[in-house]
Amino acid sequence: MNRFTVILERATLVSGAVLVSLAGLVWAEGAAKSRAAIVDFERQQAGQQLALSDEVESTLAVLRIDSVEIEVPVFDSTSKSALKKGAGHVEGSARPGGEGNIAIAAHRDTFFRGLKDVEIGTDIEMATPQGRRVFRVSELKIVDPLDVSALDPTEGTVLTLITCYPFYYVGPAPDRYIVRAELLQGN
Amino acid sequence: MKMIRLLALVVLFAGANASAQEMTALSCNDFRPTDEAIERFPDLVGACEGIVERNGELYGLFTAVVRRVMGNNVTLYLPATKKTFTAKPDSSARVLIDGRKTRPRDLVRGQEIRIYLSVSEFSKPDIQEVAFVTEENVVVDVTIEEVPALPTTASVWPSVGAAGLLLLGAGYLMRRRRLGAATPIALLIGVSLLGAAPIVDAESKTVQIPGKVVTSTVRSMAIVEAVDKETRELKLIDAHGKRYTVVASDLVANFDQIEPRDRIVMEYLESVAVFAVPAGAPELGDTASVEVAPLGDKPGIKAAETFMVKATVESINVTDRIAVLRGENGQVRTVKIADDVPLDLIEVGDEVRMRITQALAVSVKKADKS
Repeated sequence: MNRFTVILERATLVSGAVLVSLAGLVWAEGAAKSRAAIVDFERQQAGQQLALSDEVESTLAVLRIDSVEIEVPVFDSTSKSALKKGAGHVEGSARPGGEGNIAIAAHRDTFFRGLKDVEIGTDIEMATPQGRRVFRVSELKIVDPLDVSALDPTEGTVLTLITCYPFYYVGPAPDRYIVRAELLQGN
Repeated sequence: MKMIRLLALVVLFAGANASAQEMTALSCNDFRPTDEAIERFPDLVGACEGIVERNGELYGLFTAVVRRVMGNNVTLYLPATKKTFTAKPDSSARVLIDGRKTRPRDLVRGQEIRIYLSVSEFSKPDIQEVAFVTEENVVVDVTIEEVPALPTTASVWPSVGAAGLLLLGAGYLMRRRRLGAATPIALLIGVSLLGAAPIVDAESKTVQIPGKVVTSTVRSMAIVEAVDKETRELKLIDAHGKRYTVVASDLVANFDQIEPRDRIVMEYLESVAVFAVPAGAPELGDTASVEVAPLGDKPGIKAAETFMVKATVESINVTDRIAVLRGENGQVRTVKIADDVPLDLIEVGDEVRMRITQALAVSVKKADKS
Protein backbone atom coordinates (compact mmCIF):
# COMPACT_ATOMS: atom_id res chain seq x y z
CA MET A 1 0.00 0.00 0.00
CA ASN A 2 2.81 2.34 0.98
CA ARG A 3 4.64 1.45 -2.21
CA PHE A 4 1.55 2.21 -4.28
CA THR A 5 1.18 5.57 -2.54
CA VAL A 6 4.76 6.44 -3.35
CA ILE A 7 4.29 5.50 -7.01
CA LEU A 8 1.08 7.52 -7.25
CA GLU A 9 2.69 10.49 -5.55
CA ARG A 10 5.66 10.47 -7.89
CA ALA A 11 3.49 9.97 -10.97
CA THR A 12 1.35 12.93 -9.92
CA LEU A 13 4.36 15.13 -9.34
CA VAL A 14 6.00 14.13 -12.63
CA SER A 15 2.76 14.64 -14.59
CA GLY A 16 2.26 18.03 -13.02
CA ALA A 17 5.81 19.03 -13.73
CA VAL A 18 5.51 17.91 -17.36
CA LEU A 19 2.27 19.84 -17.90
CA VAL A 20 3.62 22.97 -16.24
CA SER A 21 6.79 22.70 -18.29
CA LEU A 22 4.87 22.28 -21.53
CA ALA A 23 2.66 25.26 -20.79
CA GLY A 24 5.69 27.26 -19.78
CA LEU A 25 7.54 26.35 -22.95
CA VAL A 26 4.60 27.35 -25.12
CA TRP A 27 4.26 30.61 -23.23
CA ALA A 28 7.98 31.27 -23.48
CA GLU A 29 7.96 30.46 -27.20
CA GLY A 30 5.06 32.85 -27.77
CA ALA A 31 6.74 35.57 -25.77
CA ALA A 32 10.03 35.07 -27.60
CA LYS A 33 8.38 35.15 -31.02
CA SER A 34 6.39 38.18 -30.03
CA ARG A 35 9.53 39.96 -28.95
CA ALA A 36 11.35 38.91 -32.13
CA ALA A 37 8.48 40.17 -34.27
CA ILE A 38 8.54 43.54 -32.51
CA VAL A 39 12.28 43.81 -33.02
CA ASP A 40 11.96 42.89 -36.67
CA PHE A 41 9.23 45.44 -37.10
CA GLU A 42 11.27 48.18 -35.46
CA ARG A 43 14.28 47.36 -37.58
CA GLN A 44 12.10 47.48 -40.64
CA GLN A 45 10.83 50.87 -39.54
CA ALA A 46 14.40 52.00 -39.10
CA GLY A 47 15.22 50.83 -42.60
CA GLN A 48 17.44 48.00 -41.43
CA GLN A 49 17.54 44.56 -42.88
CA LEU A 50 15.22 42.13 -41.22
CA ALA A 51 16.66 39.51 -38.94
CA LEU A 52 16.41 35.98 -40.17
CA SER A 53 13.13 34.70 -38.92
CA ASP A 54 10.92 31.74 -39.51
CA GLU A 55 7.86 33.87 -39.04
CA VAL A 56 5.20 33.21 -41.60
CA GLU A 57 2.78 35.93 -40.65
CA SER A 58 3.95 39.42 -41.45
CA THR A 59 3.85 42.00 -38.68
CA LEU A 60 1.38 44.69 -39.62
CA ALA A 61 1.88 46.90 -36.59
CA VAL A 62 2.95 47.05 -32.98
CA LEU A 63 0.37 47.94 -30.38
CA ARG A 64 1.36 49.55 -27.08
CA ILE A 65 -0.67 50.51 -24.04
CA ASP A 66 1.91 51.71 -21.55
CA SER A 67 -0.49 52.12 -18.64
CA VAL A 68 -1.28 48.40 -18.60
CA GLU A 69 2.07 47.19 -19.92
CA ILE A 70 0.81 45.85 -23.21
CA GLU A 71 3.24 45.65 -26.11
CA VAL A 72 2.24 43.25 -28.81
CA PRO A 73 2.87 42.73 -32.51
CA VAL A 74 -0.18 42.62 -34.75
CA PHE A 75 -0.22 39.85 -37.33
CA ASP A 76 -2.31 39.54 -40.43
CA SER A 77 -4.79 36.96 -39.15
CA THR A 78 -6.48 35.67 -36.06
CA SER A 79 -5.26 32.11 -36.64
CA LYS A 80 -4.09 29.98 -33.73
CA SER A 81 -0.45 30.38 -34.66
CA ALA A 82 -0.80 34.14 -34.95
CA LEU A 83 -2.60 34.56 -31.64
CA LYS A 84 0.00 32.37 -29.92
CA LYS A 85 2.66 34.99 -30.46
CA GLY A 86 0.71 38.22 -30.64
CA ALA A 87 -2.48 39.94 -31.69
CA GLY A 88 -4.32 39.38 -34.94
CA HIS A 89 -5.92 41.72 -37.40
CA VAL A 90 -9.57 40.73 -37.87
CA GLU A 91 -10.19 39.90 -41.49
CA GLY A 92 -12.52 42.33 -43.22
CA SER A 93 -11.79 45.26 -40.99
CA ALA A 94 -9.62 48.25 -41.91
CA ARG A 95 -5.85 47.68 -42.02
CA PRO A 96 -3.84 49.08 -39.11
CA GLY A 97 -2.45 51.88 -41.28
CA GLY A 98 -5.70 52.52 -43.08
CA GLU A 99 -8.91 54.37 -42.45
CA GLY A 100 -12.06 53.01 -40.89
CA ASN A 101 -12.69 50.47 -38.17
CA ILE A 102 -9.42 48.68 -37.34
CA ALA A 103 -10.26 45.51 -35.40
CA ILE A 104 -7.58 43.59 -33.51
CA ALA A 105 -8.02 40.51 -31.35
CA ALA A 106 -5.73 38.70 -28.91
CA HIS A 107 -5.85 36.17 -26.11
CA ARG A 108 -7.32 37.43 -22.86
CA ASP A 109 -4.98 35.16 -20.91
CA THR A 110 -1.77 36.44 -22.47
CA PHE A 111 -1.28 39.56 -24.56
CA PHE A 112 -4.63 41.23 -23.91
CA ARG A 113 -4.92 40.32 -20.23
CA GLY A 114 -4.11 43.95 -19.45
CA LEU A 115 -7.25 45.15 -21.22
CA LYS A 116 -9.16 44.45 -18.00
CA ASP A 117 -7.43 47.48 -16.46
CA VAL A 118 -7.91 49.83 -19.40
CA GLU A 119 -10.13 52.81 -18.65
CA ILE A 120 -11.91 55.43 -20.69
CA GLY A 121 -9.31 57.98 -21.71
CA THR A 122 -6.40 55.52 -21.83
CA ASP A 123 -4.09 56.18 -24.77
CA ILE A 124 -3.17 53.42 -27.18
CA GLU A 125 -0.20 53.73 -29.48
CA MET A 126 -0.02 51.86 -32.72
CA ALA A 127 3.14 51.85 -34.82
CA THR A 128 2.51 51.00 -38.46
CA PRO A 129 4.62 51.17 -41.60
CA GLN A 130 2.61 54.29 -42.43
CA GLY A 131 3.54 55.97 -39.19
CA ARG A 132 2.70 56.28 -35.53
CA ARG A 133 -0.91 56.65 -34.46
CA VAL A 134 -2.40 57.37 -31.09
CA PHE A 135 -5.90 56.38 -30.14
CA ARG A 136 -7.84 57.27 -27.00
CA VAL A 137 -10.23 54.80 -25.41
CA SER A 138 -13.79 56.06 -25.72
CA GLU A 139 -15.90 53.03 -24.98
CA LEU A 140 -15.70 49.73 -23.09
CA LYS A 141 -18.41 47.15 -23.52
CA ILE A 142 -19.23 43.47 -23.22
CA VAL A 143 -21.09 41.84 -26.10
CA ASP A 144 -22.30 38.47 -27.25
CA PRO A 145 -19.87 36.71 -29.63
CA LEU A 146 -22.52 36.79 -32.33
CA ASP A 147 -22.99 40.52 -31.97
CA VAL A 148 -20.65 41.60 -34.72
CA SER A 149 -21.73 45.21 -34.68
CA ALA A 150 -18.32 46.07 -33.24
CA LEU A 151 -16.90 45.19 -36.66
CA ASP A 152 -19.23 47.49 -38.57
CA PRO A 153 -17.49 50.04 -40.79
CA THR A 154 -17.15 53.50 -39.29
CA GLU A 155 -16.93 56.91 -40.89
CA GLY A 156 -13.87 57.97 -38.95
CA THR A 157 -10.83 55.91 -38.05
CA VAL A 158 -11.29 53.95 -34.83
CA LEU A 159 -9.47 51.09 -33.15
CA THR A 160 -11.47 48.14 -31.85
CA LEU A 161 -9.71 45.68 -29.55
CA ILE A 162 -11.43 42.35 -28.93
CA THR A 163 -10.80 39.64 -26.38
CA CYS A 164 -12.82 37.03 -24.51
CA TYR A 165 -14.75 37.91 -21.39
CA PRO A 166 -14.80 37.29 -18.43
CA PHE A 167 -11.04 37.50 -18.08
CA TYR A 168 -11.09 34.79 -15.39
CA TYR A 169 -13.43 32.04 -16.34
CA VAL A 170 -13.42 28.26 -16.31
CA GLY A 171 -14.73 26.85 -19.54
CA PRO A 172 -15.76 28.61 -22.72
CA ALA A 173 -16.00 32.31 -22.00
CA PRO A 174 -19.48 33.34 -23.11
CA ASP A 175 -18.86 36.98 -24.03
CA ARG A 176 -16.44 39.30 -25.74
CA TYR A 177 -14.80 42.39 -24.28
CA ILE A 178 -14.65 45.33 -26.65
CA VAL A 179 -12.36 48.34 -26.28
CA ARG A 180 -13.20 51.12 -28.72
CA ALA A 181 -10.71 53.96 -29.18
CA GLU A 182 -10.89 57.09 -31.34
CA LEU A 183 -7.97 58.33 -33.43
CA LEU A 184 -6.19 61.13 -31.56
CA GLN A 185 -2.95 61.62 -33.47
CA GLY A 186 -1.60 60.46 -36.80
CA ASN A 187 -3.22 59.95 -40.14
CA MET B 1 -65.28 -31.13 -64.19
CA LYS B 2 -63.86 -29.65 -61.15
CA MET B 3 -65.30 -29.48 -57.73
CA ILE B 4 -64.77 -26.35 -55.72
CA ARG B 5 -66.16 -25.44 -52.38
CA LEU B 6 -67.92 -22.13 -52.28
CA LEU B 7 -67.98 -20.82 -48.78
CA ALA B 8 -70.46 -18.48 -47.25
CA LEU B 9 -68.11 -15.64 -48.13
CA VAL B 10 -69.17 -16.03 -51.71
CA VAL B 11 -72.39 -14.19 -52.27
CA LEU B 12 -74.75 -15.70 -54.74
CA PHE B 13 -77.61 -13.78 -56.16
CA ALA B 14 -80.13 -14.71 -58.69
CA GLY B 15 -79.34 -12.58 -61.68
CA ALA B 16 -82.60 -10.81 -62.01
CA ASN B 17 -82.74 -9.92 -58.37
CA ALA B 18 -79.42 -8.35 -57.69
CA SER B 19 -80.86 -5.31 -56.04
CA ALA B 20 -79.21 -2.01 -55.15
CA GLN B 21 -76.10 -2.72 -57.18
CA GLU B 22 -74.37 -0.30 -59.45
CA MET B 23 -71.84 -1.03 -62.14
CA THR B 24 -68.74 1.08 -61.63
CA ALA B 25 -66.33 2.49 -64.17
CA LEU B 26 -63.69 0.17 -62.86
CA SER B 27 -62.57 -2.82 -64.84
CA CYS B 28 -61.76 -6.31 -63.64
CA ASN B 29 -58.30 -5.63 -65.03
CA ASP B 30 -57.85 -3.00 -62.37
CA PHE B 31 -57.65 -5.78 -59.81
CA ARG B 32 -55.78 -9.01 -59.55
CA PRO B 33 -56.92 -11.98 -57.51
CA THR B 34 -55.11 -12.81 -54.34
CA ASP B 35 -53.29 -16.10 -53.98
CA GLU B 36 -56.09 -17.22 -51.71
CA ALA B 37 -58.68 -16.44 -54.36
CA ILE B 38 -56.71 -18.27 -57.02
CA GLU B 39 -56.38 -21.28 -54.77
CA ARG B 40 -60.01 -21.35 -53.73
CA PHE B 41 -61.73 -20.28 -56.96
CA PRO B 42 -59.41 -21.26 -59.81
CA ASP B 43 -62.28 -21.61 -62.25
CA LEU B 44 -63.44 -18.06 -61.71
CA VAL B 45 -60.10 -16.57 -62.73
CA GLY B 46 -60.60 -14.72 -65.99
CA ALA B 47 -64.39 -14.87 -65.79
CA CYS B 48 -64.91 -11.54 -64.07
CA GLU B 49 -67.26 -9.36 -66.06
CA GLY B 50 -67.13 -6.13 -64.13
CA ILE B 51 -66.86 -4.37 -60.82
CA VAL B 52 -70.10 -3.42 -59.13
CA GLU B 53 -70.78 -1.51 -55.98
CA ARG B 54 -73.32 -2.77 -53.52
CA ASN B 55 -73.97 -1.06 -50.23
CA GLY B 56 -70.68 0.77 -50.50
CA GLU B 57 -68.69 -2.42 -51.09
CA LEU B 58 -67.02 -3.40 -54.35
CA TYR B 59 -67.64 -6.83 -55.83
CA GLY B 60 -66.30 -8.67 -58.83
CA LEU B 61 -69.23 -9.86 -60.94
CA PHE B 62 -69.31 -13.32 -62.46
CA THR B 63 -72.19 -14.76 -64.51
CA ALA B 64 -72.87 -18.50 -64.54
CA VAL B 65 -75.57 -20.83 -65.88
CA VAL B 66 -76.81 -23.78 -63.86
CA ARG B 67 -76.13 -27.03 -65.73
CA ARG B 68 -77.01 -29.61 -63.13
CA VAL B 69 -77.90 -29.92 -59.45
CA MET B 70 -77.23 -33.08 -57.50
CA GLY B 71 -77.80 -32.68 -53.80
CA ASN B 72 -75.54 -29.88 -52.69
CA ASN B 73 -73.35 -30.19 -55.79
CA VAL B 74 -74.12 -27.50 -58.35
CA THR B 75 -72.55 -27.67 -61.79
CA LEU B 76 -72.11 -24.24 -63.32
CA TYR B 77 -71.15 -23.05 -66.78
CA LEU B 78 -69.19 -19.78 -67.15
CA PRO B 79 -69.96 -18.19 -70.52
CA ALA B 80 -67.05 -15.78 -70.16
CA THR B 81 -64.48 -18.57 -70.12
CA LYS B 82 -66.64 -21.38 -71.47
CA LYS B 83 -65.63 -23.45 -68.48
CA THR B 84 -67.82 -25.82 -66.57
CA PHE B 85 -67.19 -26.60 -62.96
CA THR B 86 -68.95 -28.10 -60.00
CA ALA B 87 -69.34 -26.21 -56.78
CA LYS B 88 -70.34 -27.58 -53.43
CA PRO B 89 -71.63 -24.62 -51.47
CA ASP B 90 -71.59 -24.79 -47.72
CA SER B 91 -74.82 -26.18 -46.37
CA SER B 92 -75.56 -22.83 -44.78
CA ALA B 93 -75.16 -20.95 -48.07
CA ARG B 94 -78.28 -19.52 -49.63
CA VAL B 95 -79.15 -18.19 -53.03
CA LEU B 96 -81.40 -15.20 -53.44
CA ILE B 97 -84.14 -15.85 -55.96
CA ASP B 98 -86.71 -13.11 -56.35
CA GLY B 99 -85.57 -11.75 -53.01
CA ARG B 100 -86.10 -15.02 -51.23
CA LYS B 101 -83.35 -17.09 -49.70
CA THR B 102 -83.18 -20.43 -51.42
CA ARG B 103 -80.95 -23.41 -50.82
CA PRO B 104 -78.51 -24.16 -53.66
CA ARG B 105 -80.03 -27.62 -54.06
CA ASP B 106 -83.25 -25.92 -55.16
CA LEU B 107 -81.62 -24.29 -58.20
CA VAL B 108 -82.87 -25.61 -61.52
CA ARG B 109 -81.09 -26.27 -64.78
CA GLY B 110 -80.88 -23.27 -67.10
CA GLN B 111 -81.05 -20.64 -64.41
CA GLU B 112 -78.60 -17.80 -64.84
CA ILE B 113 -76.99 -16.71 -61.64
CA ARG B 114 -74.53 -14.05 -60.73
CA ILE B 115 -71.67 -14.59 -58.36
CA TYR B 116 -70.24 -11.68 -56.45
CA LEU B 117 -66.79 -11.93 -54.95
CA SER B 118 -65.79 -9.27 -52.50
CA VAL B 119 -63.00 -7.23 -54.03
CA SER B 120 -61.56 -6.30 -50.67
CA GLU B 121 -61.26 -9.95 -49.66
CA PHE B 122 -60.27 -11.71 -52.82
CA SER B 123 -58.34 -9.22 -54.88
CA LYS B 124 -55.90 -6.36 -54.73
CA PRO B 125 -55.79 -3.30 -56.92
CA ASP B 126 -53.51 -4.05 -59.83
CA ILE B 127 -50.77 -1.61 -59.01
CA GLN B 128 -47.43 -2.94 -60.03
CA GLU B 129 -45.30 0.10 -59.58
CA VAL B 130 -46.04 0.91 -56.03
CA ALA B 131 -43.08 0.96 -53.71
CA PHE B 132 -44.44 1.46 -50.26
CA VAL B 133 -42.38 3.35 -47.81
CA THR B 134 -39.12 2.76 -49.53
CA GLU B 135 -36.84 4.32 -47.05
CA GLU B 136 -33.32 4.97 -48.03
CA ASN B 137 -30.52 7.01 -46.76
CA VAL B 138 -29.53 9.69 -49.16
CA VAL B 139 -26.66 11.93 -48.39
CA VAL B 140 -27.90 15.46 -48.47
CA ASP B 141 -25.23 18.03 -49.02
CA VAL B 142 -25.82 20.72 -46.49
CA THR B 143 -24.16 24.02 -46.93
CA ILE B 144 -23.19 25.10 -43.47
CA GLU B 145 -23.53 28.80 -43.39
CA GLU B 146 -20.77 30.63 -41.67
CA VAL B 147 -22.22 32.46 -38.73
CA PRO B 148 -20.56 35.81 -38.28
CA ALA B 149 -18.97 35.97 -34.88
CA LEU B 150 -16.27 37.83 -33.09
CA PRO B 151 -12.94 35.98 -32.91
CA THR B 152 -12.34 33.49 -30.17
CA THR B 153 -9.35 34.50 -28.13
CA ALA B 154 -8.24 31.74 -25.84
CA SER B 155 -5.75 28.90 -26.00
CA VAL B 156 -5.60 25.61 -24.22
CA TRP B 157 -2.11 26.01 -22.80
CA PRO B 158 -2.96 28.10 -19.74
CA SER B 159 -5.43 25.36 -18.80
CA VAL B 160 -2.70 22.78 -19.26
CA GLY B 161 -0.46 24.81 -16.99
CA ALA B 162 -3.21 25.13 -14.39
CA ALA B 163 -3.83 21.39 -14.51
CA GLY B 164 -0.12 20.80 -14.05
CA LEU B 165 -0.06 23.05 -11.00
CA LEU B 166 -3.01 21.18 -9.55
CA LEU B 167 -1.19 17.91 -10.02
CA LEU B 168 1.92 19.31 -8.41
CA GLY B 169 -0.14 20.51 -5.48
CA ALA B 170 -1.82 17.13 -5.15
CA GLY B 171 1.52 15.35 -5.36
CA TYR B 172 2.93 17.66 -2.73
CA LEU B 173 0.01 16.97 -0.38
CA MET B 174 0.43 13.22 -0.83
CA ARG B 175 4.11 13.52 -0.09
CA ARG B 176 3.43 15.65 2.95
CA ARG B 177 0.91 13.14 4.25
CA ARG B 178 3.28 10.24 3.68
CA LEU B 179 6.24 11.85 5.34
CA GLY B 180 4.22 13.60 8.00
CA ALA B 181 6.21 16.76 7.41
CA ALA B 182 4.80 19.99 6.19
CA THR B 183 6.42 22.34 3.77
CA PRO B 184 3.90 25.15 3.84
CA ILE B 185 6.07 27.52 1.85
CA ALA B 186 6.08 25.20 -1.16
CA LEU B 187 2.35 24.73 -0.85
CA LEU B 188 1.79 28.46 -0.73
CA ILE B 189 3.92 28.91 -3.82
CA GLY B 190 1.86 26.31 -5.62
CA VAL B 191 -1.41 27.91 -4.62
CA SER B 192 -0.26 31.40 -5.51
CA LEU B 193 0.94 30.20 -8.89
CA LEU B 194 -2.38 28.52 -9.41
CA GLY B 195 -4.19 31.72 -8.56
CA ALA B 196 -2.10 33.66 -11.01
CA ALA B 197 -2.46 31.12 -13.75
CA PRO B 198 -5.01 32.26 -16.24
CA ILE B 199 -8.08 30.10 -16.44
CA VAL B 200 -9.07 29.84 -20.02
CA ASP B 201 -11.93 28.51 -21.94
CA ALA B 202 -11.82 25.84 -24.55
CA GLU B 203 -11.93 27.06 -28.07
CA SER B 204 -15.45 27.26 -29.32
CA LYS B 205 -16.33 26.51 -32.88
CA THR B 206 -18.77 28.37 -34.94
CA VAL B 207 -20.17 25.31 -36.63
CA GLN B 208 -19.33 21.91 -35.26
CA ILE B 209 -21.46 19.30 -36.91
CA PRO B 210 -21.74 18.93 -40.62
CA GLY B 211 -25.28 18.01 -41.21
CA LYS B 212 -27.24 15.59 -43.27
CA VAL B 213 -29.08 12.54 -42.32
CA VAL B 214 -31.89 10.71 -43.90
CA THR B 215 -34.18 10.93 -46.79
CA SER B 216 -37.27 8.84 -46.91
CA THR B 217 -39.42 8.40 -49.92
CA VAL B 218 -42.94 7.15 -49.97
CA ARG B 219 -44.36 6.35 -53.37
CA SER B 220 -47.89 5.26 -53.71
CA MET B 221 -50.39 4.84 -56.45
CA ALA B 222 -54.14 4.85 -56.51
CA ILE B 223 -56.74 4.01 -59.10
CA VAL B 224 -59.28 6.63 -59.98
CA GLU B 225 -62.69 5.12 -59.40
CA ALA B 226 -64.77 8.18 -60.21
CA VAL B 227 -64.26 11.82 -61.08
CA ASP B 228 -66.65 14.62 -60.24
CA LYS B 229 -65.78 17.46 -62.56
CA GLU B 230 -68.03 19.87 -60.72
CA THR B 231 -66.66 19.44 -57.23
CA ARG B 232 -63.20 18.29 -58.40
CA GLU B 233 -63.61 15.23 -56.24
CA LEU B 234 -61.63 12.12 -57.02
CA LYS B 235 -62.70 8.78 -55.63
CA LEU B 236 -59.57 6.68 -55.30
CA ILE B 237 -58.68 3.13 -54.38
CA ASP B 238 -55.23 2.69 -52.95
CA ALA B 239 -53.00 -0.33 -53.21
CA HIS B 240 -54.53 -1.82 -50.11
CA GLY B 241 -57.98 -1.59 -51.62
CA LYS B 242 -58.89 1.25 -49.31
CA ARG B 243 -61.28 3.72 -50.91
CA TYR B 244 -61.09 7.38 -50.20
CA THR B 245 -62.02 10.70 -51.72
CA VAL B 246 -59.76 13.66 -52.33
CA VAL B 247 -60.48 17.08 -53.69
CA ALA B 248 -58.01 18.29 -56.26
CA SER B 249 -56.97 21.84 -55.59
CA ASP B 250 -56.81 24.44 -58.31
CA LEU B 251 -53.07 23.79 -58.50
CA VAL B 252 -53.78 20.47 -60.19
CA ALA B 253 -53.74 21.68 -63.74
CA ASN B 254 -55.62 19.90 -66.50
CA PHE B 255 -57.92 18.27 -64.01
CA ASP B 256 -60.39 17.64 -66.82
CA GLN B 257 -58.06 15.06 -68.30
CA ILE B 258 -58.37 12.77 -65.31
CA GLU B 259 -60.69 9.87 -66.03
CA PRO B 260 -61.84 6.77 -64.18
CA ARG B 261 -59.26 3.98 -64.12
CA ASP B 262 -56.38 6.44 -64.41
CA ARG B 263 -53.55 5.86 -61.98
CA ILE B 264 -52.62 8.68 -59.66
CA VAL B 265 -48.98 8.45 -58.66
CA MET B 266 -47.99 10.27 -55.52
CA GLU B 267 -44.43 10.54 -54.38
CA TYR B 268 -43.69 12.01 -51.02
CA LEU B 269 -40.13 12.79 -50.12
CA GLU B 270 -38.84 14.03 -46.85
CA SER B 271 -35.25 14.78 -46.11
CA VAL B 272 -33.95 15.80 -42.75
CA ALA B 273 -30.65 17.55 -42.48
CA VAL B 274 -29.28 18.00 -39.01
CA PHE B 275 -26.51 20.34 -38.03
CA ALA B 276 -25.47 22.21 -34.96
CA VAL B 277 -25.14 25.93 -34.77
CA PRO B 278 -24.37 28.21 -31.86
CA ALA B 279 -27.32 29.21 -29.76
CA GLY B 280 -28.89 32.37 -31.04
CA ALA B 281 -27.57 31.95 -34.56
CA PRO B 282 -29.68 33.55 -37.25
CA GLU B 283 -32.48 31.45 -38.64
CA LEU B 284 -32.16 30.08 -42.10
CA GLY B 285 -35.11 31.05 -44.19
CA ASP B 286 -38.00 28.79 -45.02
CA THR B 287 -38.73 28.25 -48.67
CA ALA B 288 -41.53 26.81 -50.68
CA SER B 289 -42.04 26.13 -54.33
CA VAL B 290 -44.84 24.77 -56.46
CA GLU B 291 -44.71 23.51 -60.01
CA VAL B 292 -47.78 22.61 -61.99
CA ALA B 293 -48.13 20.88 -65.30
CA PRO B 294 -48.24 23.13 -68.35
CA LEU B 295 -51.58 23.41 -70.05
CA GLY B 296 -52.14 20.46 -72.34
CA ASP B 297 -49.79 18.18 -70.45
CA LYS B 298 -50.94 15.45 -68.18
CA PRO B 299 -52.15 16.75 -64.86
CA GLY B 300 -49.57 16.95 -62.18
CA ILE B 301 -48.24 19.01 -59.37
CA LYS B 302 -44.96 19.24 -57.54
CA ALA B 303 -44.72 21.08 -54.30
CA ALA B 304 -41.67 21.41 -52.10
CA GLU B 305 -41.23 23.10 -48.80
CA THR B 306 -38.14 23.57 -46.70
CA PHE B 307 -38.27 24.75 -43.16
CA MET B 308 -36.01 24.93 -40.15
CA VAL B 309 -36.79 23.67 -36.69
CA LYS B 310 -34.69 23.71 -33.56
CA ALA B 311 -34.18 20.47 -31.69
CA THR B 312 -32.22 18.98 -28.85
CA VAL B 313 -30.37 15.69 -29.05
CA GLU B 314 -32.18 13.38 -26.64
CA SER B 315 -30.17 10.25 -27.20
CA ILE B 316 -27.73 8.70 -29.59
CA ASN B 317 -27.47 5.05 -30.54
CA VAL B 318 -23.86 4.84 -31.63
CA THR B 319 -24.15 1.28 -32.87
CA ASP B 320 -27.02 1.91 -35.23
CA ARG B 321 -26.15 5.60 -35.77
CA ILE B 322 -29.60 6.68 -34.75
CA ALA B 323 -30.27 9.98 -32.98
CA VAL B 324 -33.47 10.94 -31.23
CA LEU B 325 -34.20 14.64 -31.49
CA ARG B 326 -36.83 16.62 -29.64
CA GLY B 327 -38.13 19.71 -31.34
CA GLU B 328 -39.19 22.92 -29.68
CA ASN B 329 -42.79 21.83 -29.87
CA GLY B 330 -41.96 18.60 -28.05
CA GLN B 331 -42.23 16.46 -31.13
CA VAL B 332 -39.73 13.64 -31.13
CA ARG B 333 -38.11 12.62 -34.37
CA THR B 334 -35.73 9.74 -34.92
CA VAL B 335 -33.14 10.23 -37.61
CA LYS B 336 -30.38 8.09 -38.97
CA ILE B 337 -27.00 9.73 -38.98
CA ALA B 338 -25.06 9.43 -42.19
CA ASP B 339 -21.95 7.30 -42.05
CA ASP B 340 -19.67 10.19 -42.81
CA VAL B 341 -20.79 12.31 -39.89
CA PRO B 342 -18.36 11.84 -36.99
CA LEU B 343 -20.38 10.77 -33.99
CA ASP B 344 -17.94 12.28 -31.53
CA LEU B 345 -19.13 15.70 -32.65
CA ILE B 346 -22.65 15.05 -31.44
CA GLU B 347 -23.50 14.85 -27.78
CA VAL B 348 -26.70 14.40 -25.88
CA GLY B 349 -28.06 17.80 -25.01
CA ASP B 350 -26.61 19.54 -28.07
CA GLU B 351 -28.90 22.00 -29.72
CA VAL B 352 -29.17 21.28 -33.38
CA ARG B 353 -31.19 22.58 -36.23
CA MET B 354 -33.15 20.34 -38.50
CA ARG B 355 -33.68 21.50 -42.03
CA ILE B 356 -36.61 19.50 -43.27
CA THR B 357 -37.48 19.35 -46.90
CA GLN B 358 -40.81 17.89 -47.82
CA ALA B 359 -41.82 17.41 -51.40
CA LEU B 360 -44.96 16.00 -52.92
CA ALA B 361 -45.21 15.08 -56.54
CA VAL B 362 -48.49 13.98 -58.05
CA SER B 363 -48.79 12.71 -61.58
CA VAL B 364 -51.44 10.89 -63.53
CA LYS B 365 -50.97 7.86 -65.75
CA LYS B 366 -53.66 7.18 -68.24
CA ALA B 367 -55.57 3.92 -67.97
CA ASP B 368 -54.87 1.01 -70.27
CA LYS B 369 -57.45 0.55 -72.97
CA SER B 370 -58.24 -3.01 -71.83
